Amino acid sequence: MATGNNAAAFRVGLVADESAAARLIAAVLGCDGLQLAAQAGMPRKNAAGEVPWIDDARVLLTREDIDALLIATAPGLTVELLAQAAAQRTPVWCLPPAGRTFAELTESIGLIRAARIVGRIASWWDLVAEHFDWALRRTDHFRVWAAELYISSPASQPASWQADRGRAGGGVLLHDCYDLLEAAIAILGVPESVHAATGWTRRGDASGAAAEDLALGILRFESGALLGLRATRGVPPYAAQLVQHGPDYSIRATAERLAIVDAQGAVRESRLLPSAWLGQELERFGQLVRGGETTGEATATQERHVAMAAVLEAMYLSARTGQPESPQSFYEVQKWPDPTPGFFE
Amino acid sequence: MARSDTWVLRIISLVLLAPLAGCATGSAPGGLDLWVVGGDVQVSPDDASLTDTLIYNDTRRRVEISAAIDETIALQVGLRGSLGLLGSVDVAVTPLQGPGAATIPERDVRRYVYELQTLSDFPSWYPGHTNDAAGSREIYDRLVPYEAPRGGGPIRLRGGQAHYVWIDVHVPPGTPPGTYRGQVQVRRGAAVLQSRDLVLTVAPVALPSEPTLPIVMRCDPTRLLEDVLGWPVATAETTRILPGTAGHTRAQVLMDGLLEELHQHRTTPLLWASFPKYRTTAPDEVEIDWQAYDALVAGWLDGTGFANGVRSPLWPLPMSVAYPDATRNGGPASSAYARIAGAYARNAAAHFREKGWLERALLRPLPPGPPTTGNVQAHRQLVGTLGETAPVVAHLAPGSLRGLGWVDAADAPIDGVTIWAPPAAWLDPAVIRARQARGQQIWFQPDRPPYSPTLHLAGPAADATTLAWTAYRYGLDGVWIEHPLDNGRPLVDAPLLVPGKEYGLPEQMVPTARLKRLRRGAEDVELLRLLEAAGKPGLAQQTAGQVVRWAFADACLENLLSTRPSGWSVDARVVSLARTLLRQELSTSFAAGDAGGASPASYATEWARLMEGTAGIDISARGTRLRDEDGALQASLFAQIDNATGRRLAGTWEVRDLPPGWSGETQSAAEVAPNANTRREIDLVVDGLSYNADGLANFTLALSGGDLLLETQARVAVTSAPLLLEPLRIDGDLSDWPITANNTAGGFQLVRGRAPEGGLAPKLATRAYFCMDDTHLYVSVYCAKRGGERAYWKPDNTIKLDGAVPWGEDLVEIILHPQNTSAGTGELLYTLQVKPSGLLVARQGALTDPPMNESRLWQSGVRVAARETREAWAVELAIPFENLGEAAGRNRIWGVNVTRLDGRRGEYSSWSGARGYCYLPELLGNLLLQR
Repeated sequence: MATGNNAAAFRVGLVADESAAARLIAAVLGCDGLQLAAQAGMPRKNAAGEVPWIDDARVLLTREDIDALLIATAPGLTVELLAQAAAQRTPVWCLPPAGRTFAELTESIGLIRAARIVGRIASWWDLVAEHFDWALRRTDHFRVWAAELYISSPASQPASWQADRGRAGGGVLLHDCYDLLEAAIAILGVPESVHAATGWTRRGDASGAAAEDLALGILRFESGALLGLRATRGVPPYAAQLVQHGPDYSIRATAERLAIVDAQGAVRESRLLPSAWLGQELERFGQLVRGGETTGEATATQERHVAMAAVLEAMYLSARTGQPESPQSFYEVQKWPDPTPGFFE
Repeated sequence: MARSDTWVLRIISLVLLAPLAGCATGSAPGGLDLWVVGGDVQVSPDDASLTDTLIYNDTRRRVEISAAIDETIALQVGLRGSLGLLGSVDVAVTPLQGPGAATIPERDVRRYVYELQTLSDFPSWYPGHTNDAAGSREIYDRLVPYEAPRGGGPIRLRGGQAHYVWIDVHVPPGTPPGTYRGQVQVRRGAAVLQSRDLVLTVAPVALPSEPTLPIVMRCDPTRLLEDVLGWPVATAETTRILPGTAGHTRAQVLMDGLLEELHQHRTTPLLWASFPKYRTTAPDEVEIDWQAYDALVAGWLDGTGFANGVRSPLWPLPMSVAYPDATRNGGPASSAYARIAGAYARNAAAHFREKGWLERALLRPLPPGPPTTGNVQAHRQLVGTLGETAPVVAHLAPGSLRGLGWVDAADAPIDGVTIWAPPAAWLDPAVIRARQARGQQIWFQPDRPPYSPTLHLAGPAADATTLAWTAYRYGLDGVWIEHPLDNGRPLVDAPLLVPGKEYGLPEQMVPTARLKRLRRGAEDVELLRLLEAAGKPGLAQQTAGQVVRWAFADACLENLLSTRPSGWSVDARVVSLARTLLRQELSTSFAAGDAGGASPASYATEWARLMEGTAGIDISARGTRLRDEDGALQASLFAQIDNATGRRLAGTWEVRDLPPGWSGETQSAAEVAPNANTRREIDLVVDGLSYNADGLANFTLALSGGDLLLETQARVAVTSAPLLLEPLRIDGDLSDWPITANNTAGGFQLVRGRAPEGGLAPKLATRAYFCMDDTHLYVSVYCAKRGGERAYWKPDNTIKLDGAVPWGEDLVEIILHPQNTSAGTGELLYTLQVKPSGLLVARQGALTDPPMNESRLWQSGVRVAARETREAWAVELAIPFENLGEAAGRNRIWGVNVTRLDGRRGEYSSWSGARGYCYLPELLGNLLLQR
């Protein structure tokens, strides 16, 4: 078993499904300050060698040799484990989305805050924010007028939880768009209204049980900006990019690179974005745990994920009702405090 | 003709004419039309036969319904016998067989026969809420159990009339989910004349056995016991039913039946009777004999008294201001009463605690009453005395009503009230959350549209169902119904159940369709709560927000009586569609597969139908007022947007097609929040004034923005009073009136509701005329009648008010505003109301009920005469200027309006075109005095 070199490393339990196990294990093992003490959720053959493997994720959390819990699995199980971690006052980290609905997420965050534990939902935006900031400040007067988010992902395995709407909470819109959409929301704010449609290109599902693999959306922002979203699964070529258009130039972002593009489409400047973001995420989590930070940055990140949940659930609602919907309404229904201006900054 | 020949002719006519009858919609062999609609649908004897409804398809000859476990689904089986098939038929439902050996028990399928009733008294809200004239008609409301010896089945068909059988299908707890099949059959003897397949899909979802929304029915049985058993009338509190006592057995059975019936309808009945006897043993001690009381109520409180074994969730502590009687103990404010009432309350609370009933107890010391200082003070005193024993219910507004314009409403800052249960009109949603955050509960009493759906007999079918939706939409804690039984005012508080005695069921109660639709709404709230529990609270709120866009004081504009149209649809298909969507969402949440679900694509279509059916944007021109500014004529147009969508609107007002000589600010910005309304004053300059023979000049008001373009017709109502050289003779004869140009007011428009074709013209024409001399303003009003009808008025000295409308008989009203402001309240107006008898009621300050401004009788010095002819009735008035204030002698432009009430048809119309409310300066027309 590989262990961290830092003598102050704390022990983590990892619950990860088959698709996430390999990268999470690699990230933990490469992380100074974290020691993988137990694992669950993945098939045994995908587990890290010599680290105890538990066949029930709920049992893992009861082990005494766990100082913190890392979760990278279906949102339905994530919610359950977050509640368990809060009850046991165990610091917890998870991949987003941390709930299938706004209600689930806010309830989980409420439990975490009441337990006064470090509860961090991973955020790609936190890692790349300074790079986007660089791009947005190339001129003094850059404003995003219009944005496009295009996601094309491989199809999910039919038997996996990603294909099951009940367990996943949603499909390509909820899971595959998350990181780049989070960046867009962080820059533009919570949209005033969203209008969306979802569909199924593969199964023509009659029962409504399959997660969608097609999503289209229009997001309107108070600033007047519009964001158009197109997301598919199983329709190659596969790519993911966010383009934000301003008066003088556009910012084109993928998971790997940020580029400044001029009016003729030529790339004027570009930057590579951090690639090993999971490792850095986990290191940041470790710092928060050691510092006992349950508020401040931790809370701000949670609020951004709450905003994401409101936007995504509004889009699903719009796809159901055929009408524009307001993310703000979820704050009112759940009696969650409104997002305060500036917390994205 | 010999008898046998007669029978031959009948047989021949059957053979020849039956195929012709079969061409009619839905006809089947035997000349009998059969169709099925859901319980939401308003039915009437004049209905046409139907082939397709939300639950019935005539081609497939199939009825399809869905239900959760412990839910009751209602069907209405319509029958019309055509030529050759009159006489009696039976409507029956065969056993519903489901998966395995499961069946729906026969006792859970109940049939009722509608009884025809005549409705001839309508309230003033009726035309505006239903867009229907208030004329006498026959309706279906009372549901006689099929087995009743009188009025029950079989159905005696009358030619051409639609008959209905109401069927309740209850899915009892423990029923396995799945598909259940049976038939609806129409039989004559053993022969089945017609049948339709009945397919019931039971979803794997169960409604809670105890309702989550309390709908309290305060049952005062005194009239019931008098009607059925001949008991002497006493106060409810002292009407004692003594279990085990000879002579009281039937009363006990009647009470058991009453409470069971209401309990089965998902309401919370509270028997307001038989309060226990007590005696005073010391100034602040009482001894209460609980034996008889406990024997009477224990079964309801522990559930053994109800067939489903579910105990009553609430029960009143048996005391009120009438028991112990405050008037016999010095009054509510006296220390003697405080001692005895306090002692009684403590004793009662201790007894309830001992029995384990206290956590469900509530205390209602005072009945509903107006928000007078005396009523508020009495509440304050009683709550102070009794408030620590059990949660106290007060039928007062939790916030001030003065903010809604009620000038003499007493404020009610009363500490200690736990449950506020005012009439819906008194409830300001802005205070709901604040009160609930302080641990108080907000309930409401059903009221009238547009404040809440109504349980009045004239109310549309959708209203009774929508009542519970309204409570959910606003996050309220309960509904309080003060008089579910006949309380001697059947027109005001139409009973929801009546005694079964006249139907041969002396120990049963007969329900009404309104009670069953109230149950339907309560079950809908359970579906909404299940959707919340399934993690979709946003969707549940969204759905409720579509069904009820606004209610309570959200329906108010300038004041309590100046209101928007009702915020919910009278079309029952809206709530039916919303329920279908709830079921679809629940079925996909709780079980994948075909248990009631439909493909997601069809959701979008149905959602779109729901949104389009309820959301909309309405613009209106409320009034156009003229004023004289330094010799120049100016106009103010009052425009309003009512935004019933969930989106913020921004656009531009445009005034088009202005009359010649008009100019000014023809475009101005408009913005309105979701589910809100806003008003805008648009100023115009008038260089030349021209109007038609009705005193009207029409133009167009438009709102545009994005893809939005709405237009409505606006009018400026203006007429003049030419100067006469000789005074007129006031005798009701208008033939001596001078024929001049431009002194006429015509083209009256309905103030409430619309004509059947959608327009605003009332059925009967009205014209008013003006002229003046140095001392008097003369006004005459000519009211056309329908040929042969007599003017409709009561030979008394009063004019009844119903809210903001004089109501109940023919009359005209002249509204004068010599000061000619466009702002202000009805206090600035002079009103002259005249009946065809010539009775005049003159007031300074318009009078409404409740009062929205100061108003007093006015010593007007007006001379009035009335005359009736075959074609019309007319009134003539001479109004002295000297009694109209200083402005009357100075201003040459006055605000004025003439309204007319057609008492028979309930059509209230006015010249200025005011809609909904007439008593504001901005809603008047304009009179030019030719001084």
